Amino acid sequence: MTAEGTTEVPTPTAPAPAKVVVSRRGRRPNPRIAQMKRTWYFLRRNTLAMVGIVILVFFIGIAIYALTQPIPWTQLQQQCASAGINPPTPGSGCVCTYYAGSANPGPGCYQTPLNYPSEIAPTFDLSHGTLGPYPMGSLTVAPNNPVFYNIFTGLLRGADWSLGISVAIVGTGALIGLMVGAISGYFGGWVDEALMRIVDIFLSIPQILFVIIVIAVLVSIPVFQPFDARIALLVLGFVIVWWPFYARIVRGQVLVVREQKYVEAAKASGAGSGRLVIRHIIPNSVYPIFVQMSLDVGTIPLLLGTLVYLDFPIFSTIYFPEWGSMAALSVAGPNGVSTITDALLTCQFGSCVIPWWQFLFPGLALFLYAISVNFLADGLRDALDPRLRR
Amino acid sequence: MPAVAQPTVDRTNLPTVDVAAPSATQGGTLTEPAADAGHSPVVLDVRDLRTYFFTYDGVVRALDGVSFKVRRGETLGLVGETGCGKSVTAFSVVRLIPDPPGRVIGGKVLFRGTDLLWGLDSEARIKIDEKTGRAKVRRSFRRIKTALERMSAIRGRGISMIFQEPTQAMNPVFSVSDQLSEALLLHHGTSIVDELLNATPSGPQVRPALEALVDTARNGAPDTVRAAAAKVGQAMNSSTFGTQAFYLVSESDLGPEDMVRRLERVAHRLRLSRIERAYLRQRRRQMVVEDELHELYLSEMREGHINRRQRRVLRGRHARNRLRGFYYGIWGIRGRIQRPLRDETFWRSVQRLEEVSIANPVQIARGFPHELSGGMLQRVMITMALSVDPVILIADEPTTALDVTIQAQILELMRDLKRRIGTAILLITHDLAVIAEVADRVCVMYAGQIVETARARDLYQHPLHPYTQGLLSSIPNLERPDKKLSSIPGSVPDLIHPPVGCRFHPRCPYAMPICKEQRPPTTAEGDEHTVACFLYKGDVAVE
Repeated sequence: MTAEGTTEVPTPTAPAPAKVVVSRRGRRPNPRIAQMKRTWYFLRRNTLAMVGIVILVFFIGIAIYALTQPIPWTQLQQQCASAGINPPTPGSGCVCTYYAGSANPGPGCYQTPLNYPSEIAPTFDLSHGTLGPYPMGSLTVAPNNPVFYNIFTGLLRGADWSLGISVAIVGTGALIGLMVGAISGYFGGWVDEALMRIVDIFLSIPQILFVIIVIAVLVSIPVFQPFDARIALLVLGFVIVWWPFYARIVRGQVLVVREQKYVEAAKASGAGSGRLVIRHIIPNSVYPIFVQMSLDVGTIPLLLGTLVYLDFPIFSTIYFPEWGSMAALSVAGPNGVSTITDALLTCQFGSCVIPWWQFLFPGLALFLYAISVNFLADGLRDALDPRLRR
Repeated sequence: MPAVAQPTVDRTNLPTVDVAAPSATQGGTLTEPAADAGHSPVVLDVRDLRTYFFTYDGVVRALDGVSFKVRRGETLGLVGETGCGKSVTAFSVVRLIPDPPGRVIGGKVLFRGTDLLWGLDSEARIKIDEKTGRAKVRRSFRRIKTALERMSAIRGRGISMIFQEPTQAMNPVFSVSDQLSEALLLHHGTSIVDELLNATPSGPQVRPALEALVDTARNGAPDTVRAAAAKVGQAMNSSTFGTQAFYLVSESDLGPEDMVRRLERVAHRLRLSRIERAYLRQRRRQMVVEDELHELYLSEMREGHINRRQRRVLRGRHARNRLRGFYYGIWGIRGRIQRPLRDETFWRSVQRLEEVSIANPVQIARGFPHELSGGMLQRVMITMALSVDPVILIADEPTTALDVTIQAQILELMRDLKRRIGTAILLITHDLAVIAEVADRVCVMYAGQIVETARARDLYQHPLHPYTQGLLSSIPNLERPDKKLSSIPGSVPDLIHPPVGCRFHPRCPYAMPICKEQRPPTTAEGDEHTVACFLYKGDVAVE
């Protein structure tokens, strides 16, 4: 049919057939890609989801960038060495601010008196990036620690760790929880009873304590000595205490879904239990987990921060560039005295410099990460659930 | 002790459960009626079916000795008030009673001579607590599982169901075509795959046919276009290609040259790649094994014992096939190689939707259940139920949620399909008008028992049982507007403590002393008219 005018097909009674989508290049359109396109279409119209995607893509971008680029974070000693003071020892030493990429230490590297910092008054000198005893944009673990860490660099370096660890924990946990919850909810009876009691046992374990114990006990085994193995151990510890929440949510949802008419209808048309669970029950009960996952993803770095706050060596050094740890370090150093504590103490002497940037920026990064994942998950749920999209 | 089914030691314990023993006098013996010569064969024969629900409050005798027959190509209506056990009957027949708490405890459901309740006694043992008198059911889950396996050979293929709420009876996360094609693949899988494998790929001889088709589309009526498209499809050994071509040419606004080229491209897709063929063959093998397994289950049910050796062989083959099919299920691969089958089933489901006169079938097939109206969905459900060419269709209040115009359409559709395929329909409803419209014979149920069975016309003209009379007099009659509508006093009795004797006697205007003591026997009052009431003294019925 060339044009509407030339066609003489009178179709007053015949139903108007729908537009048939056939790809122009004649290849068979992949239904999966068509599905993705549709999802993307619905996602694109959701502003909040797009905001989430932009932030997340930015974070993933910097994580990849930081992986490819050996960005220094604790190169301070070298710089102090170039300033002629090596090694920088506490009390006697050299305090250097590190500017990424700068060749010489610059004005940030200066001598401090012995009993730092209580004997010098902090200054409000923002002009060249320093602010009293705590150079702007830097993080120091303890007031008398001569090593300063660049927060900006830390944020870059920490992106992959924060994202990777949280996604690994939440993803694995959700997968296990989904399986256990689906089995428990679908089969019911003593299976349900047994699985749920196991879940209860796991829920009763204090999470942080369990992770600490797992790492502390297992780290003595040589296999778990390497750094990567230790991170795997950390993930494992968290997964063990994390999956029961998902199992509970899924079970609850499965209990609702399995009573639905369409499950009965599927049964009535001869579907076996495997098919019922995979085709009918799981697709209808995964959506609540998405929400829980998106919330948990932001919680994990905070828990890692809690471990650091508790002075537990999860990473190779305590000054590990991970957002949660960085935020925690600003409030509690390895000896329990942090720059912020110290600053608050010096407030008694009339002048306060509270190094807000030390916790604000890691915290902000965490906040943005959590909220972006949340927006994205919400948008994805709306886009994927056929009942919710318009 | 009832004189009826006592095949095992276990079931003989059962009557102790019903303290009131209302089932004591189920008249007659269970023999095959000889008067079946002039009729179509009986496909479903339900005899003395008992379904109890073991709740905390006590044993609910939801079905207490229900017997009826459905013949091939016949519509049997099952009417009664809410809560009289109509749906429970349907679910008992396909063994979908939620267990626990429910349980079919006795009777026979003969589906073409196969007792669907076979092995029921070994699944659970019913024990009565000495102190409290409460019944306890101890279930063997393994045996229930095997029973379910066996039933899945019957469900869908032999007996399919239509549910009351079409909006809830479809999975909301899959599109209509997905769900329809699932049903199609489940029951016509091998033939679909065969057709796909045998389709003639497009050659040089196809082009003229396509050109002719496009030419027809330019200045022909839709019917001729459809015929032409079907012809092209036939030429290519693929009926779905015809459908696809029809929708393509009648909708697209491309020029004739482009149109032909596009059609050629679509035809070109019928040329399967090697891996696609391998996948289809694998799929076919799997379907064949599944069919064999189902056949085995059926024969087991017919013969009454388990064929363990054959089971092991088939299950092993099934497992090996599934393992082999694992490769084709890997996420990245499966989308690509499963596409021909998906397309094929999509267009087949479009064809099915066309058959039930749904306008715009392509769009509907792509749509999701929540996007369709109730009537539309009910038609899709019926399509789904009938796409398997079932022997029996159980329609559980199929028109209750629909308005009257749609209702008429649905009933017309069911009647039409019955005529075409010869499906027996068990129509469950409380709407007497619907029954009058479509049913050949009617069973009237009251409180878990069938009180009257008759041809639809007989029932409306000469209702015998007082309950039926009450039901019919509560419908407004257009010819007699002056007649006052009456209702049956009282309500459906509590089935935990049903009235002793005739269950209707507390509400019956003709109640006699004997009604309170004995359960009335089912007596034959004329041709194919049976009633369970002491008012009638006909021959004791065989059913």
